[in-house]
Amino acid sequence: MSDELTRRLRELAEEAEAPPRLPGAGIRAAAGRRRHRRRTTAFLAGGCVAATLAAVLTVHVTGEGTGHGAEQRSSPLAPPGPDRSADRDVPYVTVDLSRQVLAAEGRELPVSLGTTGTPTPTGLMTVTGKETVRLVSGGREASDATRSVRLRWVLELAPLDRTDLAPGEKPKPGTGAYIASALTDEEVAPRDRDTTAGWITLRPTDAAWLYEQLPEGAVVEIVARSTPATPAAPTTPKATPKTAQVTPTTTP
Amino acid sequence: MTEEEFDAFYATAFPRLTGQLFAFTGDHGEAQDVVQEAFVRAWDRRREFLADGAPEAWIRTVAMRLAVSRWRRARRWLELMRRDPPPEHAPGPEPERAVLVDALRRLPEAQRMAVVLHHLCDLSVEQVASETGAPVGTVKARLSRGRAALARELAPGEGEKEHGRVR
Repeated sequence: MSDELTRRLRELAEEAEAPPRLPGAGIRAAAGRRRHRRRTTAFLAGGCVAATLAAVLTVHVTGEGTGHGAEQRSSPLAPPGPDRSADRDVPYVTVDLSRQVLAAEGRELPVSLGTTGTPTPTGLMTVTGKETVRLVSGGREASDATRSVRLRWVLELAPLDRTDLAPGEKPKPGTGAYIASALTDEEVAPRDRDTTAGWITLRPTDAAWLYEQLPEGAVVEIVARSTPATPAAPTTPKATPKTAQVTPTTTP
Repeated sequence: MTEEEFDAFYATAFPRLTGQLFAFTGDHGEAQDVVQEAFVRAWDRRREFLADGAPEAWIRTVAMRLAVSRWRRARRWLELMRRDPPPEHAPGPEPERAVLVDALRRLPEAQRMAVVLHHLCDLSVEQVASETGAPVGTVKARLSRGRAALARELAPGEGEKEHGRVR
């Protein structure tokens, strides 16, 4: 019976073999979406805990420390607490490429994004550099191949991928995305038309506000459009800032 | 494991694993679902999956556990809501195969898993014990009882002769 059973089971299994319903890329994408959902859930749960703690501390402080006028203000979007390493993956700003909005602190700001040829990088990133003024070759517009332009309120982002980093290692600058102000005389592009060379540009007033809110080390999540496949790793925008020609960083 | 290597492994192993899981579940759609889900989890846990040294066995184990978990949920649901058997997602097997599928379905879950792993997936009794977390003696007993039950279903009269013999 044993050999006969083995034979019949193998025939049954061979007859039941079926090709995959999804390609390998679909499986990997499903895993990525699930990971993203887990992170988002963790972020929301962490936010609830942080909010509760903040409420408790506020009540505690006002109950005991009346008359303290010298409240030390920190950046609203700075990671809470002295140790930022534990929650460095928690996104403080989300850029939704599908909706072309940047969400931060309850505000939703319209943005311009990269063209199909020069897509805006996606993924979880961290702010690695800030400059109030920066000279950039190629510009942020896909059509600005030779032009050099001065950009305001530049936030440089690098991919935050723990699997690539040794413990304590910081992400490499210039390997992720950039957020900056649109030129002073222009508005953000219409929602159905992407114009930049991979940069995320905001209205000047919005860019200045965001610049003040985001400290280095803050986390920015750039969520890919739902229709095309999500790139496996963040890509670098084509417009590379000329660090050697950066103008003095003076706050206007 | 690179994306290309994973995709190639997936394309090769998926059909084979689906066949094995069909023998375990008796349902085409269920088999495909759990194998696909196991691959999704495998990509998310590549280090664990590769450290195991037997990626296909890792996938099969995860898929079987998923199937067991689904059955338990479904059984509770069915007990509450209805008495009908679950619908087939794909055309059923040939009559001869249908008898085997039906006989397998009637085996208790632990016996069916032992029979499939030992007789279809070529795992030794010790490997089945390791995979299912049961003592070797328990696995031998499950195999013996499972084979005897199948023999009674598939070839009436031979069940007694097989009882107690483990390959």
